[in-house]
Amino acid sequence: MSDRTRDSNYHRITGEVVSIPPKFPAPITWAILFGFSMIGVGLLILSVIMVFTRGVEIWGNNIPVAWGFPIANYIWWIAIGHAGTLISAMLLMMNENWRNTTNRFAEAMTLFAVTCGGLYPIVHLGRPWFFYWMAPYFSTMTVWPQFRSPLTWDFFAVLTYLTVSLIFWYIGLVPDLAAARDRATKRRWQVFFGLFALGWRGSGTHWLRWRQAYVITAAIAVPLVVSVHSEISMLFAAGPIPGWTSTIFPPYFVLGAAFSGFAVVTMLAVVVRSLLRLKDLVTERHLDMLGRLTLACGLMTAFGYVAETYTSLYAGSYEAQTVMDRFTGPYWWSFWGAVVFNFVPIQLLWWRKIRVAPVFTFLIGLSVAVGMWMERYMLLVTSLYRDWLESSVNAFQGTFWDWALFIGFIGLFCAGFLLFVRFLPVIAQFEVKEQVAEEGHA
Amino acid sequence: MIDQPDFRAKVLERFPALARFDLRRRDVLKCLAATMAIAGLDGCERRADETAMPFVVNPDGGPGVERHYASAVELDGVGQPLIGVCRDGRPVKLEGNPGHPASGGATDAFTQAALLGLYDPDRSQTPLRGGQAATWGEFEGVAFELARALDGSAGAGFHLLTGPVGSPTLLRQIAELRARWPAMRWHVHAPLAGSVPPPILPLDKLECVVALDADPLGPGPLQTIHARGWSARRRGYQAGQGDALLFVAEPIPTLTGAVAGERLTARHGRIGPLLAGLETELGSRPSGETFDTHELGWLQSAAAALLAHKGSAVVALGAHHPPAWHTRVAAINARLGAPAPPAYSAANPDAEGIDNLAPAMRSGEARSVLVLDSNPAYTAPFDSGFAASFRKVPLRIHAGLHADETAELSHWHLPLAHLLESWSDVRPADGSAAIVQPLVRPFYDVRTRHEVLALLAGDNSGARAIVQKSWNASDVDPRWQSALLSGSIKPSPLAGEGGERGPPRSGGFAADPSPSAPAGLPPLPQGERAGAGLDVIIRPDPSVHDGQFSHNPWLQELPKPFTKLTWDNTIQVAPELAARLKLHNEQLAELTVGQQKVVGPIWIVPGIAPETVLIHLGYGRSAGGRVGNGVGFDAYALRSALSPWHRAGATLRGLGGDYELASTQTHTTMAGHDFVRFVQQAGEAVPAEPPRATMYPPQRKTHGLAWGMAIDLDVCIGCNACVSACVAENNIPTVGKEEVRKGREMHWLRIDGYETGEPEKPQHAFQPVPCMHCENAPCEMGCPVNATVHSPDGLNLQVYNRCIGTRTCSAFCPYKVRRFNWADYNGDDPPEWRAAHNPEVTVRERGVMEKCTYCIQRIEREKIEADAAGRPMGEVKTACQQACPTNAIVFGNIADPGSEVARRKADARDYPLIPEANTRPRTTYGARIRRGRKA
Repeated sequence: MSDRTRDSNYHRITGEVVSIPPKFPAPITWAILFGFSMIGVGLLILSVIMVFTRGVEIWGNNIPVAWGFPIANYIWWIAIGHAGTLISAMLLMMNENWRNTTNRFAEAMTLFAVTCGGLYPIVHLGRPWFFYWMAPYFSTMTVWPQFRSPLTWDFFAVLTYLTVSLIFWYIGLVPDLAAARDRATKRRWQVFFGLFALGWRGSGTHWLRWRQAYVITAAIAVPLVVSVHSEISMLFAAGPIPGWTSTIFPPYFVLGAAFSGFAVVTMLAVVVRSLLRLKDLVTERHLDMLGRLTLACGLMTAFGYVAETYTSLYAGSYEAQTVMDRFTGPYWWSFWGAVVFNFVPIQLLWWRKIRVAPVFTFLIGLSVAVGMWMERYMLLVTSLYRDWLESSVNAFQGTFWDWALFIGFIGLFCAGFLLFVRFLPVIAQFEVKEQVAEEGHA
Repeated sequence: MIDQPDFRAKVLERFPALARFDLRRRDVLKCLAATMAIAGLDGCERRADETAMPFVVNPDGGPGVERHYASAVELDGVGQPLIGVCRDGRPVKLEGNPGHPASGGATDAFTQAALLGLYDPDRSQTPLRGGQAATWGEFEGVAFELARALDGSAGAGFHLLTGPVGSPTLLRQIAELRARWPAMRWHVHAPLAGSVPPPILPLDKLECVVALDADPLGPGPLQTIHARGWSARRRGYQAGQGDALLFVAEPIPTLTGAVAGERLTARHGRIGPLLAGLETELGSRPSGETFDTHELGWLQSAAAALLAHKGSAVVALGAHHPPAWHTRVAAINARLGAPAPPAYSAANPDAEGIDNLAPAMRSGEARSVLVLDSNPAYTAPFDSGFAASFRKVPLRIHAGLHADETAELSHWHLPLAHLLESWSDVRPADGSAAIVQPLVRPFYDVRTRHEVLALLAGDNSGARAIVQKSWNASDVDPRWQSALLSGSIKPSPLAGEGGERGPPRSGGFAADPSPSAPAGLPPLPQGERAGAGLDVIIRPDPSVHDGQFSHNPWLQELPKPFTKLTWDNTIQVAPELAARLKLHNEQLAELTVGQQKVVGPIWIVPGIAPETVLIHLGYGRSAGGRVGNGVGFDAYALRSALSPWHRAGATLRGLGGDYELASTQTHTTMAGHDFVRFVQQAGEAVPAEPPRATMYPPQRKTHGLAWGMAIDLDVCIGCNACVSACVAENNIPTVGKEEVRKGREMHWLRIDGYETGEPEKPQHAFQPVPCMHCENAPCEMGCPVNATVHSPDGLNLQVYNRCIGTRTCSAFCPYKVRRFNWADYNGDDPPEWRAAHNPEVTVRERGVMEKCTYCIQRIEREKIEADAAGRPMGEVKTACQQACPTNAIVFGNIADPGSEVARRKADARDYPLIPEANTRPRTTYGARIRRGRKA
């Protein structure tokens, strides 16, 4: 490849990516999708107003199922976020360069998913206006959080995770913001990008410092995925409730999180690819790799199911009762739904043809997202509705407002993601160029 | 101006409620006056009646000081002695009177809930004439006219209809009226009375009781005295003194059957043969009856036990069975040398029944009827034709607590005062008498029952004077004062013991049927032959009784012992019958007997006899106020005057739809676990629990205090008194049927009910479950904000104002005893209910968790008082413990080896609930003993 063609390639990449915000390729499709998302946001606002004015009575929660949709959905959202970090940070450190076209939007997905997930427990509180009591601040009453509680550590974990994800995403974005600034023709775009580009001039020192910061943040982010979701699994595992109190939960949750996250990243990749017409950048190779990751995580999660079921049946008594109840009890659909949606369609991913077919990968991703939601629902509801005493058995059923809030948060996620796609460089163009250059030299 | 149409239209637009009134100036003013009276309720200016004598006089008597008054309430004419706890002039809690033999400090659930009955905002607040607000002055005119007419006719045409009357003063007043007007007639309508007065059994002395369709421990006016006696005997047996055998044969599960050593499920029609079989087994005469193996086994062991315990054994027959059978039972008891019954029971042998009233009203003989504290339009049997004939009476006066169904048919309705705001007297089950003194001045424009009767006699004196007249006493009389202080008045030294006592008992159980009761079996209505079709068993509801408590949300929300249902009555059938008729829980079904039918939801209850249907009275009120209206179905519709407790030849047909019911416990088996443990005999130990490793730090112990509770399941009869007491003590909100159905009831203490054994021969067991106050409490580990923490003396504390409502504590609680304020459950309460709140207990706001505190307010008060007096802490009783009529619940310091709770915990039967969870609960249970026989 001659220098000339390489240069033109660089320009083409920059042009393709950076010109997206000012000259958006599919404004009508975007507007329609954004409209639907905003309906969801409206529903979210309504649901939150309802729950703040009338209290949590509007949901299906009761005694014994004191936690319901909010906690199941919280875990689901945070889990989805983890794939973004894994793709970006872990693959960055492993020098897997194929990540470079997917990492930016995967990171954005992390941010929005963690935002949705993080808001859920606050909305869920009986007295949400006191949510900050979970934080260790200097109170005049010298009351501190209760440090043995998994919820306290959840609070730290999610907050840390959100902060690190935001920093990581932003550091990665800086060079592209500078490029966008340089290419922008209108004053307002120049100012907008210029402010956030932090005076980036692309000097060698800049690149050196940037690289150090980026890798260090990545090195912080990757263990966070494991610790955050292990911590979240303690919400269940620390409670002396049959079906919860199991040491397998941390790894099982982390794998499940990565599994659902990769599934959602696949879905978003397909959408970004067709919506923004970036087929050259998000290639079949990327879909192929995502498919492999989804399959691998799915199989490991399936092993978690087998191991959990086996230990419970081996333990007998209440544990076995809960497992049998999951198989055949009133919530059988959530268990078998999780098994079928999670583990049957992904078997198609053994074939490359399926992995690179956008329609199939999208549908398989959707199936896993649904299956993993059912898993969280199953773990929460089947354990709580019948735990120890037969006398406290009581059924749980989500209400209209449970679903409204969930759909509302999906709307918020989509709206945030669409705004990101519309107004920021969605693919890390400098990293793609770097990759092109390295491949050229090779 | 008021007559101008424009103005009237304007006023009606602004105050639509005034449309009911014929808008005249007088009425508007009356209405305003009533409004002012209601508005006044909101203030804290509720004053005690200064003539009531404080039980405990506080020397400095500042604001907030608690005063105790001895008083009583009445259930079916039987007094329930109590101590009313008042603060700032407001009654806030009712306790049993520990000095009174009929209470011993215990109460039943009804008495606990009577407090809310006092504050019932739906109580009648002003006299009504034709449904319109009127004044007492106007009625006084009517009463004067009536009395003058009756003086002329010697009372002819005047009928007085009352409920069962136990009050000596009321009896005296009625006797005086009858002396003045000899031709007047007095009728007693006791919807729950049997064919004979209910026997009061000296259960504390009885080593063997055979109950034939009798429920001495069941809900009713005698429950407290019976439960106390029975548990005393049972405790003696546990300590190795004698037996405590209980044999029960019955068609429906009862509290007595649930604690029986041997219970036989027998259809209604088998009770007679079983009685004959018992006579045969005891050697009197061959009966010619044939029995199956279950029956024969039961009969033989019952008879053997009776014979083995001569002198301390008794046969009890349900009061609703024919008097002739009671005579036979009395003969058996005489042969067994059964001890004498300790007391009197309410019966008014000199009154006529309601069955004589309807013909008199139809024929026009009855010119005026005064219905005093009774609601026959709702509770009279369908075939008495009461409502139709009552309408024919030219002057109909009703006096009652509520403007009920009868009030709607009456010309005049007079609001009666609640007993807790009245001067009166009652006769408790032990046969003594108790003075009822007001705990508070009446809130509304009401008068006591004595004042209403006195008004008729032209006497305007107050209730206190009327009562004092009966006892020949005055305010300064030391006997009167001591009667007020002790809550009991000795009948002997006081002259003027008005009215007649119940029939004198000549030793033994010479059950002495009341003269008005028909001899022999009543003829059954057409088409009702035993053996064809289903038996219908009709019983008062365990929560709302005959319907008199349907206004009371505490009782409406009290889970019924065997179904744990709230806010409804049901058509109850055994599992086999449900399977045969393809019925399922909550399915609507139609129950038809002859021409009458009711439609209600099905609930399946193991332990009901085959081919038997159980329904409960007290629901389906049409004038039950905001709480009681439209709840359940009216079972009185199936109640025949000839056979009020049982109908034969019924058909039950499932209908298409379902009706949602609110049960607090949907699973009633133990699913192979041992939540309620059993041992075979006294002295036998439950298997020892292996010590389990724990990662929790060891408990700190300070001041030698370690609070704990022991609940003896062997004496728990599942009567709900503890639950009701807890509600009253701890300001527990009622949440309504919809919320209960969702699983959001707020009771801090619940009574779990389980069935074990074969479905056709189930063993029912009850288990009260408060907070376990675990030493290794998962809730404390789970809470992120330190809102639930451990106190050094071993309490698991809940800090409401620190709670942010994550509900982790509840999710982590193995016993699910925590309750969450899903909504603002107290916000919409009428101000009257708020006045019933215990000021020492926080009213919880929306979004916080709550649970049993072991009545920490009582612990703290004792701590403060002990500190102030410089003495060691004395005994602290929790509200549930105090109300419990069987002393099943004991609370105290387990660090003190001499305490009762420590002794109970040292017992071989003591065990923790779910030891697998390794929470080291401070509340433990005593295993049930299957039989009451010594090894």
